[in-house]
Amino acid sequence: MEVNRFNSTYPPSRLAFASTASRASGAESVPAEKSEVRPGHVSLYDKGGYKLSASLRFGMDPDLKRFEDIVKKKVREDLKKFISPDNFETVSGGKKIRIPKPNIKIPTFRRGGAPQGGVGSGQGNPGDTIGQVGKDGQPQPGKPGEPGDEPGEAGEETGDHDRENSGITISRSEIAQMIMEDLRLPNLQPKGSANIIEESIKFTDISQVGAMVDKRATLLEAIRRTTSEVVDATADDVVIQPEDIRYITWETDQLPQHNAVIIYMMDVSGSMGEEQKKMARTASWYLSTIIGQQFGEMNAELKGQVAGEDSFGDGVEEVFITHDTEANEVSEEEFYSTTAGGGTKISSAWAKAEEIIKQRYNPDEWNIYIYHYSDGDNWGNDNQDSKEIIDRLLPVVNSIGYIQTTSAFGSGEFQNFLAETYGRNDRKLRIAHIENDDADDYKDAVYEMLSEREDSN
Amino acid sequence: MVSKVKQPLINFGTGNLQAAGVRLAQKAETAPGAGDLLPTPGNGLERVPLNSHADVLFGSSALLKSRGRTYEVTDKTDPVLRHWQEEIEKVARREGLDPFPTRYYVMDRDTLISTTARTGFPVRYNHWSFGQAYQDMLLPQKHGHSNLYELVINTDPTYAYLLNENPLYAQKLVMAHVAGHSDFFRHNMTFRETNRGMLNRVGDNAMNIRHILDHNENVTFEEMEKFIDRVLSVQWLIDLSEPKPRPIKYEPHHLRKSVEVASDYGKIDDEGYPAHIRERLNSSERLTKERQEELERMETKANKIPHEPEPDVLAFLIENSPALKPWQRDVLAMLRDESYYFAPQIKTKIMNEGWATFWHHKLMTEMPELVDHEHATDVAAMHSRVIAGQKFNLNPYQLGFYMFKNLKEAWDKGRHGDEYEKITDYETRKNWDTKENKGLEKIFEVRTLENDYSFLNKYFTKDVAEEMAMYTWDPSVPDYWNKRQQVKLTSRDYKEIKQRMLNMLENGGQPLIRVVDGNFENRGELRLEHVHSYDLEWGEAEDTVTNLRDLWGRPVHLDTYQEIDFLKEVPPYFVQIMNDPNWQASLPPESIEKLEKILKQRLRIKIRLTGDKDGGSGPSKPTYHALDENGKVIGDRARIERMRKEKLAEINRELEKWQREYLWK
Repeated sequence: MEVNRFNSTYPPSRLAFASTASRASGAESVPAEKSEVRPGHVSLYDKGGYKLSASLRFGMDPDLKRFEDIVKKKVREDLKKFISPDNFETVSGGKKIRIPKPNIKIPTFRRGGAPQGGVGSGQGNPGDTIGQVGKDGQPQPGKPGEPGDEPGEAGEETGDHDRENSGITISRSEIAQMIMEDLRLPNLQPKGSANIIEESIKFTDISQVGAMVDKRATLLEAIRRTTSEVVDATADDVVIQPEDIRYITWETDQLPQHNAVIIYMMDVSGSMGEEQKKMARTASWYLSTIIGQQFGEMNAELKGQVAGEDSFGDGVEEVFITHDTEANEVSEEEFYSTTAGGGTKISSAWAKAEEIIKQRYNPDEWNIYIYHYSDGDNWGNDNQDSKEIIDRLLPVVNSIGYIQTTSAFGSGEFQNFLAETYGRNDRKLRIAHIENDDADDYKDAVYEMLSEREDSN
Repeated sequence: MVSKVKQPLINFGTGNLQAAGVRLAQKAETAPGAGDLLPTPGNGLERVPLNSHADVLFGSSALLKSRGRTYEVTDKTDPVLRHWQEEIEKVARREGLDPFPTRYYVMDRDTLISTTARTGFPVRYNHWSFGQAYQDMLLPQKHGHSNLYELVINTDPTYAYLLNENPLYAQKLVMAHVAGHSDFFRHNMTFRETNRGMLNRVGDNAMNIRHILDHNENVTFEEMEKFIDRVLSVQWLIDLSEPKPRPIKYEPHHLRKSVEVASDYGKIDDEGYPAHIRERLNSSERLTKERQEELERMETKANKIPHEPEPDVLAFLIENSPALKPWQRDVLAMLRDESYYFAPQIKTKIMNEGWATFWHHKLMTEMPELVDHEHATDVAAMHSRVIAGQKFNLNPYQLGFYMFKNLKEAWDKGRHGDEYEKITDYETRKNWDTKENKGLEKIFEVRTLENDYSFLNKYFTKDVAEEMAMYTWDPSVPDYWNKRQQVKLTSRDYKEIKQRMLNMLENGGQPLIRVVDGNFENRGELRLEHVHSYDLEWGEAEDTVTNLRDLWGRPVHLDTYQEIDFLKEVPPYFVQIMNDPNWQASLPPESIEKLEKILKQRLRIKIRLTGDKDGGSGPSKPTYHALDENGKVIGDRARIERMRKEKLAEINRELEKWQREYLWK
């Protein structure tokens, strides 16, 4: 009768984690598949809504999956808080990021307080240094300064589980969507309806003449020919003859595309410290993420493709300009690492931007976004010079953003100058300031840059 | 002898489970009732009723072996292992061990890890923390940094799992080890009240939790998960000194409140009184007021809980929390039982592992029936890996092993008692032997009577400390030269080492926290106290208080102490002087002593952590209050900060004085 007890008390559907999980996600719980259980049989192995596998038998898989979900959720929460790009690495050509696994644990009452000692065993005399306190507060072998004593240098590791263990991968598209949803940002509107026609190559057919050999088709043809000629052919009989060679042909396809360029400009004068650059880097990373996702999506739609993580950044280019009293175009790394000294001439950067636009980015074909970071200190009469250039640029760009990164030395008067000249609610000229390396400040800045505004004119 | 447990056995020619299920089901149709499912001659279909969750989950051995994964060691599935199991148990019994009957399951690494993540129970309730434990174990396993050999659960019969990759000599060693564990579980006092049917109980708990999810419309999966998160956060707030959970005296809160006060309370038989007196005697206003007062008085009295500090916080919550729904109360009670089941294992970790290691070593190296000469070095290597010392931690296998080994030797050779203790000469100590030969008897007595704390307290000796080359280590105070904290070996004095270990093992390694007032300030709030021997980890303590607040439904207060030291805040060169031998040589010794006294001053403040906002409505951190010694609030966090600064200023003044006195002279 024992068996009956199990059968009546614990029907298989209750064992199925799936039924509870589906309820959790708000979906209607799927009725367990009508099982072939008949009275008297212990039905736990039967298909009461789940597949039998060793790990499910031990109930592990659902827990592991749930844990991974929780970890991912936590990471998303962190990303919504505009954590600095220093905390993760970009992978897949900048389309995805890999972020270290967050530390998730159930809090308990436990021993804390002053740094604790302990008991161990091994060699040494009292007074000897036997290790050092690691970043996690735990002791670890090695003396300070010795190479290889940092935690996290576990070496190159491969394999699925290792990758899962070393971090979580999230696409930048997803991050952009998350932030846009969080800040209720509108979709970006490309300038005008004029789409740029871009030539793209499509491999369409295979033919007997051409320039690019299709190895697969060639081999197939050789096999086909051999089998028709030789009875009971084996692999050794297959010899590729000149007539077997097949070529790939392609057509050039003209595809519509929105092009966009983001021009980042940064004041690297003496008053801009590391802190300010870090803030600029964080803000730029998230701005690029959103613009990259938006144009990627637009272009994917134009081409009739499904927008996804692969379409990220399609048609978007970035330009970096640093300036003190004169401006230079630099690479992205230089942009965030350059330190110059001396004074500030903001107009130099704007002039440089204008020059680059004239040379490379025809405003009729390109959507142009310009973001300028500075602490706002400018040479007295330079404000007026800057205004002249900005006035020329404003009609041709999509948007200009001035983001003031507050520093201890900057007066911040350029922001006031812009606000007085253009007003704080101008549709194209956006002003924001970041005071601290803090989620709210970034949120405000990104919102100011990308939110929807009526044309004030 | 091992009684041969009748195994559930289903022998199928094919390994196809689905087919097996169908065939069984067809069988069942013809024969009503499970008991009638008798083996039919010829078809190989053999079956006995399943009698535990393990049977259901592990399934029959033959069935699982056919899948190439987990199978139970029996005569049919694995005659070789079975032979050695019987052999080892025979020898173990001859040598005096008395283990439970043991059922071994052989499984692959992944299954073993996933079972280990659930502390050995094949069925537990669903919770992400098991997934986390699994993942945490996976990586070191894969890279060979850690080797998991076996897992054993304390039940009758004992269930033990073997790793299928292990060679035979390793399996033999593991089985000898398991015999030690099983004997310990069976005979140690700490386990005397343990539920030996816990495998089924834990499985039942899992089923019940799933049952709640499936049948209680109002309980969503998230809600259950969140609740279990909270319970796990306080799972060790039980009475760890008790071997058995006390019975729950559950009285629903709303019933407790309905104190009966007679409806004619205070009424005077007023017949024969004049009308105006009558009116005055039983004026309804006065009667209502008196009745109300009595009601309140009785309620206050009834609510005076607990009568004395209650270390079993979980039981207190189950009995008294006004916020718990019936299903939550059930789940809490189930998890409390599981905590009580695991508590003895926490309290005897060193002894338990030491005992098992001692016996696998003894059986595998001294018993002629079991010694495998071909693999003698492999066995020795495996044993030495098990008892390898760790630089910053205690290896319980190592410590326990050496303690039992030493204890046996000491009582074999009469190396105990005053006479021996007083000898300081190394040679005399080394050659001391009274031929007392009571070692075995003594260690069996110790394995029955002690737990880790008392074991170390009574039997940790200088000899053990020396044999294991033990030391104490401390993080150094970052001084002027060394900004990064170093770890220094501080002492090899066995008394110091012992004291450290005893501190760590106090109350099973958990801080002792008790309920002192269930109706704090007559507002239905909960007040707990931490019996302070060390500070709590503040960040986690805050979150845990918030969790407790959710379980209690009203504000929760935790009284504890904060001890602040100032070594990191004083000018670093003072610390440098204190630590540097060159300085010490150039200054008078009493000055260094004085300096040390000044620098090592600590400020001790009584702190109250109050979780008073609903943790459900977003993140809310508990607030801090400073208390005086009588428990009266004297200020908030700013006050604590002020006290700290005052003390720091005082220390700096003293340092300045010291400096004038000794340094600038």
